[in-house]
Amino acid sequence: MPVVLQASDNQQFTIEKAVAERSMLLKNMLEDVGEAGEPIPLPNVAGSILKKVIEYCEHHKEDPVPSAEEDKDAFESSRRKADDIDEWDAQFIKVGNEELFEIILAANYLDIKPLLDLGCKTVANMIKGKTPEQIREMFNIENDFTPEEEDQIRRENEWAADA
Amino acid sequence: MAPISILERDRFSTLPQELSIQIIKFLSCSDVGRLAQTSRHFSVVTRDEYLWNLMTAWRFGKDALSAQGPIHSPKELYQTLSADGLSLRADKLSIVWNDGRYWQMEEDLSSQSGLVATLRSVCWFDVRGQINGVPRGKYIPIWRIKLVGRGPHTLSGVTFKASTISEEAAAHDSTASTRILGNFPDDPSYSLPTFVPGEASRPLRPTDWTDFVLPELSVGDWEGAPPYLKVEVEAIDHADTWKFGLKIDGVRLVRVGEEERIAQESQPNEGSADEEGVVPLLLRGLRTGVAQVGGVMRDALGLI
Repeated sequence: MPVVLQASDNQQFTIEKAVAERSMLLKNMLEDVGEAGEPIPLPNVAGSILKKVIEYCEHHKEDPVPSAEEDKDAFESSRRKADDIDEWDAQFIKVGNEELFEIILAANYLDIKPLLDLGCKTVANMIKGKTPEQIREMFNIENDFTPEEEDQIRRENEWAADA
Repeated sequence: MAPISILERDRFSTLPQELSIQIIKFLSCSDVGRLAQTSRHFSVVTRDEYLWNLMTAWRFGKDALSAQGPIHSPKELYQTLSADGLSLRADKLSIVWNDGRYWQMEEDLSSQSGLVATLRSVCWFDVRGQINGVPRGKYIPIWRIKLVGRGPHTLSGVTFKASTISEEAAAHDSTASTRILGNFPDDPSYSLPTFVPGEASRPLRPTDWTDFVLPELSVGDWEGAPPYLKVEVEAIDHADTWKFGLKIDGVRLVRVGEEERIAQESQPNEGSADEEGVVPLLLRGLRTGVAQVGGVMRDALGLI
């Protein structure tokens, strides 16, 4: 039984149930409402992003379902390193900044933990080893410190440089 | 036409804080420190308590969180742990026969930690400890010890060692640094200057606290090694002879290249002429230390 998803711009996508169930949000919804066949509205996700998310779920539909004990906030699960990204995922996530953050937001909303991790690791890898100025340039962050504040925050963080 | 600043808006800063934390948790502490310096928003987000609890559990183990006292914010706790991180005081060592009769803990104001382990006499000489959360890199392991009275000749067989503990490390061959006490400090090749940054070199007297310097240890020098590792230190001699005449203050790891970092920090022209005179002197001392450690390594190899 296929599932129909409707993006914020009314674009509709018809996908297999197994693909939809990569999203914990959709999985729970489908369990609750049964298979009515009505399109499921996703007002927080634009069509272009939903298409990308579906591509990810299609590729990963055979993956083992993460166990229930693997708590999202478990300290242990965050031990994983940021650089263990597989090749397909690395290619998939090569997108512009704007799109990258939209994917992170959509993955969070749809509750697709591996995709959320992939997005977050990708942003983390972009930050690694960069100076504050390089980080600002990369994400277009406005430096809103006064010179005094900037000096103070630099001194506050000196200890971290080698730790 | 829309101005470029709107097209390229700063999406990172508009993420909900919980999502920013999901990103930041993958960073090293030094990366978090640099992100904090980009804007007011990130200077606030990077103080998040949950984030620092995660960072602490990840680097120092979950047990470290229980050490959290009422005064410590999670970030302060991390800071404290990482400042202590590369050293181990005598009272954190696990010493076999430390029962007051064979070994005992003593206050000693001339030591760095204030509380030292004193060897009265023992056959089964077995001292071990573990340093958690050591960042990848090259280190000189240093045991701070004092040889007392006629004891030293009984200790010549004690083997000091520092090694990386990790399931992955077992598959890599780089990971241990060993030195036998031998006839330290009488052997002229062992007459190292004390290796304390901030202290001028001074001649070695047998009654002084001295730094017993081990060969360089590479921590996590393989591809894909985790950012922080555990280092085990040990001093062992199980030979069936009585050993006596030793005090242990602690063990520490000094980063190789530390002297270059000090040099860089002294570069900015804020120092007065006096300070500029002192720093290079100190650096020469440190460099000499490293050069002689190299010599010791060759000697150690010669012995084998």
